[in-house]
Amino acid sequence: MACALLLCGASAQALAHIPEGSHVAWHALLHYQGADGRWLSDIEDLSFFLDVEGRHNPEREWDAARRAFLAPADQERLEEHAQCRFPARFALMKDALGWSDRDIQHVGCPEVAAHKHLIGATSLSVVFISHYLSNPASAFGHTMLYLGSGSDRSAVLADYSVSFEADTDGLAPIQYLPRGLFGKLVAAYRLAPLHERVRRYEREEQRDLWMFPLQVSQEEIDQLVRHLWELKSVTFRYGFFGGNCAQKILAVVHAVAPRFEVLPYRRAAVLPSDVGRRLVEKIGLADKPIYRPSLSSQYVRLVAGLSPRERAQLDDMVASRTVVEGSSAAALQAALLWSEFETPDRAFRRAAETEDHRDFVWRRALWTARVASEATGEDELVSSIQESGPSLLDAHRPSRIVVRGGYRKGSGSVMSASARWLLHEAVDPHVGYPPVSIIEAGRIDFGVSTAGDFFVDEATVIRVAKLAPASHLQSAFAWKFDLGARRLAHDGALPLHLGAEFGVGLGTALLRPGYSVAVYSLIGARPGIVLSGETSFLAAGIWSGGLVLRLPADFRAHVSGEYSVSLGSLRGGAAALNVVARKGLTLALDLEFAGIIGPQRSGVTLGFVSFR
Amino acid sequence: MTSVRLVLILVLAPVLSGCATIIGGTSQLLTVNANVAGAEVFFNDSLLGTTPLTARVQRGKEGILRVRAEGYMPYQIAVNKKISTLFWVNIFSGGSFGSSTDYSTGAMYEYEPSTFMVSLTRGGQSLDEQYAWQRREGLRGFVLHNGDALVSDLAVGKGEYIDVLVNVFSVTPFSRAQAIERWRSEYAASKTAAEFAERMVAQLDR
Repeated sequence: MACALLLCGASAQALAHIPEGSHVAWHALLHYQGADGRWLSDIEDLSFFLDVEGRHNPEREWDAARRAFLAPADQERLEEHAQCRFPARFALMKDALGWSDRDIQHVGCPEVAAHKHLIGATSLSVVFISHYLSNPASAFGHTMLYLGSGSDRSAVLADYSVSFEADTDGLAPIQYLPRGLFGKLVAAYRLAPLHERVRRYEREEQRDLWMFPLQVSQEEIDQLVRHLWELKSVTFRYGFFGGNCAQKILAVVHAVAPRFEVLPYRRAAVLPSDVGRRLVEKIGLADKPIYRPSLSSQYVRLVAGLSPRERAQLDDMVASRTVVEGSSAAALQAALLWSEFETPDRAFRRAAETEDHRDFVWRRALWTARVASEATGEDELVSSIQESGPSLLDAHRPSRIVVRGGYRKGSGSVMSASARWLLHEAVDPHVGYPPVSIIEAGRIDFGVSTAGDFFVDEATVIRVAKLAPASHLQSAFAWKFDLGARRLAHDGALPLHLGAEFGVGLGTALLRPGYSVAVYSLIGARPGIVLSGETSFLAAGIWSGGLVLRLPADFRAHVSGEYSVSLGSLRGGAAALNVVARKGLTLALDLEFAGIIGPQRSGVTLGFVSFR
Repeated sequence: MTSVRLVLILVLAPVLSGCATIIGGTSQLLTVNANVAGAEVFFNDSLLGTTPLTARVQRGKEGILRVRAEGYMPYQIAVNKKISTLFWVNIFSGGSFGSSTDYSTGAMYEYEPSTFMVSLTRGGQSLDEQYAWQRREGLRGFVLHNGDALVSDLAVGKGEYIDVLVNVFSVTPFSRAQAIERWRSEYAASKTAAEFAERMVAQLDR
C-alpha cells in the first residue's frame, strides 16, 4: 500500500483535489482569504508554498504538498523534506486522507520532534500586555500567546510564549511610526521563554499582563506548535492597521482552529485590549482570566495597603537609602521592590567595581533585613500572579460619538459631532492604559452652521500623549505626537492644517486611592501644509497645558488650554473643559465646554451627549 | 519678525532641550565576561582584548563578536543585527528554560544592554555531557536574566521565580525550605550577578 501510494503520488498527472470537509482547515492553515475560486494567502513569502501558484491556488498547493510528502527522503538532508518543513500541513493531510503509519514513509524529523518536546504545550492563552507610552509603537498595548506546559502554575516562567514583533532596531520613533502606519515594517513570529517576556514587560517596561485561557483541544495545540515551526523562517509586513500583533496572533490561532474566524482579525485594525473581550463574547474561555501585575503595579498595591507608620518607614528608607530600624516586613518588601525599580540592578549587574555602590549596598541591606523579618500574611506580599485585578472586560468600548451645539463668530449657531474610532482621551482612560494619557486614532470632528456651511474641525489619524506620570515610579517627562489635519486655534478663515505635531514637557500627579490630580505643560512644533486653494507650508509653535482631575464615583474632569503662534504673525488660543460622569460601562454623560479666542474665529460650543 | 523668532524658539526649544539626553556620543561601551579568564574577544576581526573586558565600540554598529580560548570551541554572534529567524534554532538547548544556548557553539547572555556573559564549551563531549551543559547554561541564563526578581522572591521565601528553581533542582516539598536557605546563602556570598549565577550552576553540579 505504501508503495502504491508512493508510486501514485510520484506519477499522478491529474490534480489531487482537496477532500470534502477539509477545505476550511486547509484554507485556514495556509492563511487563504477569498471565496469561489479567488483565493490569496496572507503570507507573501513564497517559500511558504510548495507550488509556484500556491499562494493563490489552494488546490494546486494541496496537490504539490501531497506529492512532496510522499516523495522519498534524502537521509543526508532529512530536515529539507516537506514532512519536516511543513509538519502541520502533513498532519492535516494525513488525517484528511486517512493515511495510516503503514501507508506512508514517515521521514522522522528530529528537529521538529525536539521543538514539540521542548515546548510541551498543554494549554494556550492569549495574553494582552498593557500600554507602553515610552515607545509610541506600543501605545495601544501588545498581544502574544502563552503556551502552558503544566496543569498547575509551578514554573510558569519556564513555559513558552509566541509574539509577533516588528523589527524597529536602529529606527527612531519618527522613522518607524510612519512605516508602521503604512505597513512597511518587517516582522516575524518569535518564540521565547515566558520569563524573558515577563522580565521585559512586567519588570522593565512596567506593563501589566492579562492572560485569557482559550478553549482549544490538545490536538489543536499540537497543530499550533507544528504550524509555528512552519512559520519560523517567514517574515511579514507589519502595520498598525491590517497587520498588527493582535491580528497576527489571532491569525495563527485561527489557522489551527478555524472556528476562531468569528474574531475580527481581518478587519482594518484590531485593538490588542479588545481581543480578550471578544474572546469572551464570541468563543468563551477555558478558565478565568489571569492578571499579572507589573512590578510598579505590585508596588502601588503594596504601598496602598501600608499603614501611615509603615508608609513613613518606607519614605524614610527610600529617601535615606538606609534600613530603618523596626520597619515592618511589608515596608521592607515595598522598599525592596522600589530598589528593584529604582536601581534596576545596575549596580548588581556591573562588575565588582560597583559592589560598593550606594544603591547596591542599600538593596543588600534591605534584602538581609527582609529575610530576617518575621512577616505575616506573606501571600499578600508576593503578588506576581493575582486572581483578581482590573478587568479588561470592564473597559469601555474604544469608539465614541459626541454631539455638540454652540456659537461661532462668523458662522453663527453651529451643530457639530465628533466620532472617534479607537480608544480614549485623558479624561476617560481605558482599562490597561494610563489614566493621564491620550490615545486616539481615526477621529473626525465636523459640523454645520445655521448658514448651511459644512465644516471639518479635525481629522486625526493618530494622537498619542503621555501628559503626567501614571504611577509613583514614572518620570515627569511628558510628550505628545499628533498626526492629521485640524484647525489651529488661530486659523480663523483658513481651512485645515495637515501636519505632524511633536511636543515635550513636564507633568506631575498626585495619586491617591480614589482620587488623583495631574497637571501638565508641553511645548511643541507643528510643521505642515494648509489645505486651502493654494496649498502652502505653515509651521506653528504650540503650547498646551491642563489639569486632569479624577474623583470617586466615576467623575472625571479635564481642563485644557492651548496657545499657538505661526509664521505670519497668526496667533490664538483655545480652552476646553471636559467632564465625564458615568454609571456602568455604557451610560455616560460627557459635558464639554470649549472656547476659541482668535482674531478671526472665536466662539463657544457645548457638547452634551456621548455614545459608546 | 518677532513672531518668526518666537516660532523658531518654540520649534527648536524641544529639540534643543532634548539634545542632552538624546545624543549620547557615537561610541558605546561593550562589556564581555566569560567562563574562561583570558579568552580573546574580537569585534569584526579586530582584537578588543581578553576577558573580563570592557571596550569601546561604535554605537549601534552591526558586527560579529568572536570569543576564543585555547582548548575551547570558538564562539561568535552577530551584534546589533537586524531581525533574524535564527532564534528558533537556538531554543533546542537549555532544557526547560529554553535559553538561547546551543552546545555546538557555546552560549552568550546579554544580561544588560551591551553587557555579555559568554560560556565557551570544550569539543568532543558525550551526549550526556552535552545535556548536562545545556542544563547548566539554562540555569545560568535564567539567573542572569532574572536576578533581581529571583532575589526579591528569595527574600520572602516564595514566588514563581523560586518555583522555577524548585523545578530545575527537583526539590521535594520536604526539602524546599532547606533549598531556599541554601540559595539565600549563595546570593549573600555573591558580589555580582555573574558570581551568583556561577554559584547556582555549581549547586546544580553537586
